[in-house]
Amino acid sequence: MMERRKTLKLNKFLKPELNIFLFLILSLVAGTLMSSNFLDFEYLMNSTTLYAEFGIIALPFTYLLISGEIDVSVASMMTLVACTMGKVFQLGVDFVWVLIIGVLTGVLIGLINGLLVTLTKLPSLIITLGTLSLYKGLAQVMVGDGGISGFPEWFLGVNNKLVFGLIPVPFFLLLVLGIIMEIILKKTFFGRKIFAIGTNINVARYSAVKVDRIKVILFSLIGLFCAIAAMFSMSRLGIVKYTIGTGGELDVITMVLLGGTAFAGGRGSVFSTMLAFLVIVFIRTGMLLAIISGYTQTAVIGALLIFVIIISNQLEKYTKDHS
Amino acid sequence: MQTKVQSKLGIMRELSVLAMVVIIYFIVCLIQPRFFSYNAFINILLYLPFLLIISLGEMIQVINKNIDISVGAILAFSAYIVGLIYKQDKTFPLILAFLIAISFGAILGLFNGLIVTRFKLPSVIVTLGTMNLFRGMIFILGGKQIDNSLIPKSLIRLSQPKASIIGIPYTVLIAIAVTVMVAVFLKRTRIGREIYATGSNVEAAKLRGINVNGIKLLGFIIAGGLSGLAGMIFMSRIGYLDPGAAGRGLEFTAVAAVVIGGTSMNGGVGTTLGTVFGCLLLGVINNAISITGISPFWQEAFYGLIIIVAVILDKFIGNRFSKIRGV
Repeated sequence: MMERRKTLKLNKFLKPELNIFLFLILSLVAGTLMSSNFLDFEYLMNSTTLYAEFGIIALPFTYLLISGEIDVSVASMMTLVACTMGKVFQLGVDFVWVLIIGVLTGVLIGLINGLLVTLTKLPSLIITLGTLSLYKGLAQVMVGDGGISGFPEWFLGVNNKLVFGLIPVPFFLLLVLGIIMEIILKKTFFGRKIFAIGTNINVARYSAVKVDRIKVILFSLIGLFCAIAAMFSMSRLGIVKYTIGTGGELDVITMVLLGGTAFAGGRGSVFSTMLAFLVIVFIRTGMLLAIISGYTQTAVIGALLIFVIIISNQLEKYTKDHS
Repeated sequence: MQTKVQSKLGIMRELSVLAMVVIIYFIVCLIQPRFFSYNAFINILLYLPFLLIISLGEMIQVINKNIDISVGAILAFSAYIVGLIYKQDKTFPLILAFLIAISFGAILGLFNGLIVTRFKLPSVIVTLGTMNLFRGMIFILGGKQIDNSLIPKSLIRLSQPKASIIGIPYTVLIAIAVTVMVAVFLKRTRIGREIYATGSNVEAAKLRGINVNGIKLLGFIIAGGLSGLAGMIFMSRIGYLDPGAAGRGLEFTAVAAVVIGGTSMNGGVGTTLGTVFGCLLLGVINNAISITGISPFWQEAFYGLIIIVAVILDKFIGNRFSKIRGV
């Protein structure tokens, strides 16, 4: 009995989500070792703005992955929203309307993804692989090779604006949204339903969970967050190009999986996705300070991803065997 | 009886892709007569070899119920290794260079496969990681562009129609040879059939005494080796190697070709012929866009649209098939 209680305690501690705490500390230590300039709060905060856009998309992505679906078209959605906004702006529309159109475009293309997946009952990986090309292609057709710039002054430089004189706006928003979404996920019916769908879709269906409706909502939510990310990107860069979101889907998926969300669904938390976001920021910033090139950083992130999923998989097996 | 219906429907599926190829080809010919020429035809043919070879590897993976998105990175990495050798010694024998590219690709594939089978992890995620890892490794090894001046003439000549005795570039002949080999392997050998068995039902295959992990591993090795071969052909066709851009996005195009060709993402279903037609369709569209003067930016959008239409059509045909079978 004693022993059983002990293993249960250990099991509670060995949650795959908790890996990320360890990695957070490790990445901080590694960053400090790599460069003496690393532990500068202001600099670190400033670095978060470089990746906050993908971090914001990673929040609803966590929901979607918990429900057992995936959306690899996120970076293309972000690009399409940004290019649509740029194009509409070029036509001389008032900028407030440009923002509204951006939000609507995001929700609409997310909705299209959701409807395609639920109506055809095809794997979301394949459908969104198709829309990945489709959305990116449409964005290219709209804007072409050039860039669109000249946005109003008040819209630009959101990454330099600080909340409480400490935290840049994109990162602050990421924190606030993340906390709200974590509470919704863990404390509301809606959140429990997402877990139910991811754990066993048939049981969820028999328990009167409106599976398809929730999935469509989740896909649209991702579209909405892609629109927010697109706006931050535009504000930070001051220019719209069709390359704005290139490679973003990998960053987003890496963040969510690093955070311990199960690829097969049914397990995960928004909170650990946020921690994973910080891990990636720390690692990338540390390497940047140590003058390690972007591609080498990619290799490290790739290796980290494999390493982490192996560990969390083994941990899960261990806890299953011992409970 | 069942298998007869099944194979009949399978052929219908492939013929519908071929019909689409022919229809698009003739429509484009009507719009732009220049498309109906030897040169345009050779251009389509030249687009095909590396896409086809990489798609065949991807097809084996998908039949095996895996997805490999590291193939583009493997292509670049293998080609880069050969490029490094050429940097040291430009007279390095061509055959040996091919062998090195293929075996290096196969080793990278083995690495993927070992992680997937050992730890029972989803192949999409593992290859997502290794895709970044392999691409980054190129840059850890230097990552400088392999210039045209470094690549020997003998390799470039492989994709020049004029250098070939029969007027068809050697790279196309290599692709045809690989296609025939893959087709025979999948259709006529014991291991080939075991790939289908494993893909359609792992548990049943295990009970049948099939070494499931071995079969999955083999799929990764073949996909890796073929990506290495595609790397050589890519270098031969393009004439230089930009390690950051080479093969980027090719994994998605390959998956598209495979899915359009009727290979099911649920595993266990798919034919070589279908994949060939799938590649042909993408090749015709690729060339049609440039020759009709449509903005090349439409290409990506078209590819996406075709993938979606193809999988939905497939689903529709699949549903009819189950009705015929009375399932």
